[in-house]
Amino acid sequence: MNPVDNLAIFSTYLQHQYGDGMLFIFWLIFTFLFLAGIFLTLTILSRVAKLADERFEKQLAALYEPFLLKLLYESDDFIENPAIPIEISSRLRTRFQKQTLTDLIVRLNKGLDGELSLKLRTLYRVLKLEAYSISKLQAKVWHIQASGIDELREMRIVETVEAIQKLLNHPNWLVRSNAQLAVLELGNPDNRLRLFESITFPLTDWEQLRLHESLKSRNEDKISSFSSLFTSPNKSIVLFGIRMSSFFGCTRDIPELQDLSSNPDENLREEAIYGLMRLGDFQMQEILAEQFAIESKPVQTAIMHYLLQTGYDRLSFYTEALHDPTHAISLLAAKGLARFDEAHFPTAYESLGTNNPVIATLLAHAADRRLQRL
Amino acid sequence: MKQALETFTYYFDIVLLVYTISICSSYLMLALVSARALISYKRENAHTDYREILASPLTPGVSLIAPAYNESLTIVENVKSLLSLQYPQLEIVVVNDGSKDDTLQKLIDNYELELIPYAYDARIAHKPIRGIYKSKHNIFDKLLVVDKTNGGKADALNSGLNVASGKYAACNDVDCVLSQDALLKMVKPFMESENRAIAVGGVIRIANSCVIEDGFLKAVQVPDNMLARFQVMEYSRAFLMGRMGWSKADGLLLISGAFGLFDKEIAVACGGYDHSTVGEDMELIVRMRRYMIERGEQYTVSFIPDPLCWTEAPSTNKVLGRQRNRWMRGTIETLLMHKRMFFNPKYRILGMLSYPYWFFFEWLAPLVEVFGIVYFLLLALLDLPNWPYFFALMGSVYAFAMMMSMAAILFDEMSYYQYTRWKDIRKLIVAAILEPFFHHPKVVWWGIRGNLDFVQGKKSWGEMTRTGFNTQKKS
Repeated sequence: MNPVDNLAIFSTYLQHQYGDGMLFIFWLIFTFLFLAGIFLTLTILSRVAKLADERFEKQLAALYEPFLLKLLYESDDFIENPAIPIEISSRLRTRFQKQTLTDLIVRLNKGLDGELSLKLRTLYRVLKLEAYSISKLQAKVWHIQASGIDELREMRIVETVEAIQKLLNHPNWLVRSNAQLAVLELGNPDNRLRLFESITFPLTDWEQLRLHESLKSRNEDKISSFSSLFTSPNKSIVLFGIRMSSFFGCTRDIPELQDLSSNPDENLREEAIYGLMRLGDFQMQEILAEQFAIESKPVQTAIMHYLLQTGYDRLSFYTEALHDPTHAISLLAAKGLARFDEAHFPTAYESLGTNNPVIATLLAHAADRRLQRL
Repeated sequence: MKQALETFTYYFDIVLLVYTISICSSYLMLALVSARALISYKRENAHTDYREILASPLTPGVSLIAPAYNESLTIVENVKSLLSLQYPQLEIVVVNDGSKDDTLQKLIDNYELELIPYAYDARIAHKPIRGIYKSKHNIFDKLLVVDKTNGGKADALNSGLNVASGKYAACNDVDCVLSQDALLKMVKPFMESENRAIAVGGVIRIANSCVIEDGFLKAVQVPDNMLARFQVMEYSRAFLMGRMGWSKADGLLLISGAFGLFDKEIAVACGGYDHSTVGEDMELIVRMRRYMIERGEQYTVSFIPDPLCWTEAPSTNKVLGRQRNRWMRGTIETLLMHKRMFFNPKYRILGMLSYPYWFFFEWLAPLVEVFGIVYFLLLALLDLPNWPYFFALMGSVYAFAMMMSMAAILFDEMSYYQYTRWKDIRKLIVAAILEPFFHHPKVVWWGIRGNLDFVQGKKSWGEMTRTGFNTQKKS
């Protein structure tokens, strides 16, 4: 008699002896234990699969690596006459095999340029791995789409930029973010910033960081201005533009940034002031010092940073700001006072700090060279 | 009389049954949501290059606050480990909370500290600061040591929050070992969130029997000590199968005090850590969330499943009992402080799901369990139990516990593959089989003690003796 029959007989016995309730509990216990067994089996299978994958990856790497090294450093005519050994092309039947080689090629290509990179890209095409990555763009699952975009970007397949552009406003943030990077890197180098006209979702700080790193790594010298982003209806793109403008030293953007420093939006004003500070523009000193009194605390803090950085030297301004109830502002004001030469500063210190321990500490802090960071 | 008793037991059995089904269903639901969240997180972060954070001017500043009390033996190594964390704009604020030993002197001698005139923003009340120290050497430029009068952990953290200059504040027990990229991983949810992220928590792992070398984790192993091993199971279930799910459902009420990252502005604006509770970590999160909801601001609290913080778990019943007792008192205190959230739709998931869950299944669970045992003993005295049903129900509860523990081992395996030796899996399976018999009853008892101590108004933390990590020094 098989176990299923035994189980059926036992459950009939339980029902007969103790009623339906007992039968229910029996099946509950059975289900829980069965699931526990399944989980345990899955744990073991997962471990075995992991170990097998690691072994298989090593085997494939042992096969691919010598071939790739030979291709990169010995095959001079590979680009014109790409010949692939049968042992390589025949091992690209499963998805795992394709993905392993794709990962290897993409990883190698990251640090390469010129002819070496061209050879790898030719190989990527000839082995139809490019088509494999392109097919991922049509996948229904977001993480496959995201990885396809990443591969095409890393392999610099510029022909795919239009297909990727369609994913710029994908509901999944990772697909969106990868698409932004890809379009930025693969798009027309003379008009890279056009990408931002299509983005409707707000750019998170993480996305901005990735875009900035991408621009930085490409030694982007063709963008001398980010002012085209300042008029975007998407506020996060304006903020990004202001940041990039100052990080890349786009002094051409200073007039627009000066205008933005009086924008009705608090965040834009604040960012524009920091942007002007980073660009070393000192023309706004008096205007911003005037504006200071009517500003919100974050913008006041930005103004204080700006004035300190650009060497604003009105003693009365700092003396007044020293009594601001916001600690960050009063400390910055104290730092402003500390910048005055020794002839002025002791006077300020004596008149301001003697009767007020809080002010005295602020001034001592500001004057201490070990704490000079802004 | 007998009929009345039978009627009572009939209805009471139904109540207990509904309670049991509810608690088991909620565990199952949480596990399912957690599994989904875990898979999604792994996929999203599979290709993340955290090194990008290191070089970017867009990276926000982080202050890591580590309170220390009588840590003379390990403080130098621990601070060295913190100083080596990978993060570009990092400030380490070590708060010496009036240690009676030479913790401060050790720091002064080893890091060549000197007193500085540091002006800080005293927005949160705490015991007086006696002095703030900084090293004479630029290599320790990140380090700031605050020496203050003893006031307890919450008080020390509050002084750290006042002194900290970073946009985000990471609160960390100084005796925990953090992975090198812990802050890089913790800061990412703040940067990628469309709403304002106010707090991020990570998985706390147990370091007993792991190899720690010069303050760094070198090898991960399942603890040899059975009590610590049971705690590995508990932590896996709580973090990977619980908090991950709550985070996904936007109902996370607790970020462990051992390691969490907070939006400093919000933490300070809502008053910092509360001195009056021993569950200050949970209470702060609940208060921060309430603060945001009551102001009508969009926000998130996230949880990441990466194993970022390793701590030594109590390896004796006495010390573990004190810890669990304190956790229970902290839970009760926090729930009572925020009782207006209970089934209050204004607080959305928090009010309608998280709070009731903590109330019924974290606070009341040990009480219900003990009450059930007493009730059963009374029935046994009256010869009323239906014995076959009793054993069948016991069996079903045990089978459920086994299933959840096996799922926890699977989650652990599929998420971060920490225990690479087959031997470790074997040890975990043994722990899972034995835990319901040898560990769970003690946990229930400590929960009851926590309730009793709460009623008696006990406020102490209880001494947490540690045996020390399995350390190796570079020769």
